[in-house]
Amino acid sequence: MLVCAKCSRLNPEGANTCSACGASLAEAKYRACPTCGTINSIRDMFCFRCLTLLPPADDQIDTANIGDSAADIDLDPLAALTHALPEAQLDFTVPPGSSRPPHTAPTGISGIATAISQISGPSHAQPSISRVAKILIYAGVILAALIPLLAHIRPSGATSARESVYGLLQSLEDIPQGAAVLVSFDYGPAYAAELDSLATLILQHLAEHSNKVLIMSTHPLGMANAERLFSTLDLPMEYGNNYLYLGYLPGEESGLRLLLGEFGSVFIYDFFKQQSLDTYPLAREIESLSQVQRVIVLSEDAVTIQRWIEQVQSPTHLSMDALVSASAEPYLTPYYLSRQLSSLTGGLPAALELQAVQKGTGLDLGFSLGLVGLTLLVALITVVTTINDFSKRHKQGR
Amino acid sequence: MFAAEHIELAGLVCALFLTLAIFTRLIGDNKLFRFAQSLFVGVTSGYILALVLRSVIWPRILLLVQQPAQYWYYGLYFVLGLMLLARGLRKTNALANLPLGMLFGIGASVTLGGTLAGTLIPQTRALATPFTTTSLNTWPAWALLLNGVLVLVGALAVLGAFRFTLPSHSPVGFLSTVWSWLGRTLGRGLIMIILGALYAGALVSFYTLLVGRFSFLQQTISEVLGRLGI
Repeated sequence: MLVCAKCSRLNPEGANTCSACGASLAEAKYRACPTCGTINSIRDMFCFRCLTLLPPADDQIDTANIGDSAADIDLDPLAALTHALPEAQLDFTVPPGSSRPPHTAPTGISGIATAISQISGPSHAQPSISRVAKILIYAGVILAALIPLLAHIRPSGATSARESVYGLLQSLEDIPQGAAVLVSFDYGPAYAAELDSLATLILQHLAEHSNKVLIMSTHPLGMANAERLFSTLDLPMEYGNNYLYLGYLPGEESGLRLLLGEFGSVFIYDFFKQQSLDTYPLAREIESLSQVQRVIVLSEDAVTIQRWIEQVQSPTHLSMDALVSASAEPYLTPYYLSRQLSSLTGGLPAALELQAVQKGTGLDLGFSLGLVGLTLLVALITVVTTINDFSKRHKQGR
Repeated sequence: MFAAEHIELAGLVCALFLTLAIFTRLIGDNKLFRFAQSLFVGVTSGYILALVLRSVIWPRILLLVQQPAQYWYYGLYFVLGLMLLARGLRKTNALANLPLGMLFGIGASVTLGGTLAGTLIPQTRALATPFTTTSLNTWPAWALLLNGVLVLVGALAVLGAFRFTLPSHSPVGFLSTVWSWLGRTLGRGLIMIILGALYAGALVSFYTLLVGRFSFLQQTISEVLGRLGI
């Protein structure tokens, strides 16, 4: 059953126009499952709920929905990226007296296709160019991802790194020998590829400087990450004396606010052996945040770091280092510039640079090449979508 | 019985299969992808439930049972928690209003206080930092001043892009009109650049994760083939 895009009435498969309002069903974006009635995208092969095989979409309808429709974005594996440029959010101001209609120009992947079609010729060529653009982008991303695996060349010699890496190194060096450090593993396994390298370098540094490490997480899967990482690292640290798993802290803002009290009232048993915290010398020595010299948070998103700053760093003025995914780094830069964060480091590139600077070795050339390829791709997407956006706005302004 | 290495091999094969099943989404919606997705959601939900029961609820139940005089307040929390469960039944759902009200009220106050003290006030204060910073002492005075002016004008322009009111004809209204114009022009342009930077950051992040998955596939296939002697 096809859902009319205009009045939402259900119409039988194969109908050309809506039985209620007469609108063309070529514009339909959704269809109802014949088994359970769930509304699915017109391009879905299976029902979202019951997995019934849906009847094949009409070619005409399928072609009509390629582009910037909601159905297309929903199905696109790169949809999360296109959502990074929410067009609607830019359109909140309408000049006084203007009767300009809401702007619905496509952005992201479909925006590139539109821009290319505007440059290259008439609009009837848009669907095929859109597909070509998508294929090119997928191919570019996959190629950029494969380069590090294909090129295994490691040049020797010292290398330079970005400022934030030196900032993190300086921040770590400032931690006194043997001081207590609270490390929060606020990321899930999905981000392990990006953040494990940074976590490993931090833990190795803390172990070398005989720091006492308290480990916790505000992410439900974070403690599992910490345990996995510790089990793979051969660190000269003894559980209970040099490091301790405090555990998972639920409650987001309210949970973090509880950290301002004693650890024993928040974490009753340790995460590893499920014994009372009092049984461990480290827990008896370090009872609260006031005895901690540094907080290091490894997080996959910016909101978690913001929470830590607002609920823990702001009331205590503790020094805090944030090690985040590359996608979260730009959001948090204002906190670093305002010195609420002692250091801010993001992503695998930073981890590789940190490793190279610490050990005096060069960067992995394969990775560098991959990064160059990706940067070019990013630049291409950014430039074309921005030109497209300006062009649309200019036309609408006229 | 299975040897440990067989179990490990089976785990690797499962991981390999599930990774490939997720990647099949690239060629379109299919049952394999749906199966892997449902499995991940189910396993994650189960793990989180077990984690919360083991680390958060059970230790407090034990304390309440063993030392009720000292930890009586945990009993109160459990009662409030049970009242939340009443939300599921039409006849008893009014019972959940009290714990829900407490949750929203306390959550809002904690968040609001933290946002004011941790973000709004420090970030507003930081607007003046480029004029006074000591970390840029190596810069000439004119560069320091220019940097400060750019930061200030940029921040005001972006804020101006979020205006919704109509300008008036008073002297203050003139300033308001200028600010609004600044927001519509410079502010919007800056927002586009900022979103472009965020977009690029997201792409770098997802790219790294993709590299990680490819690397995992490469290593796992080599490992499995090696163990099978192929």
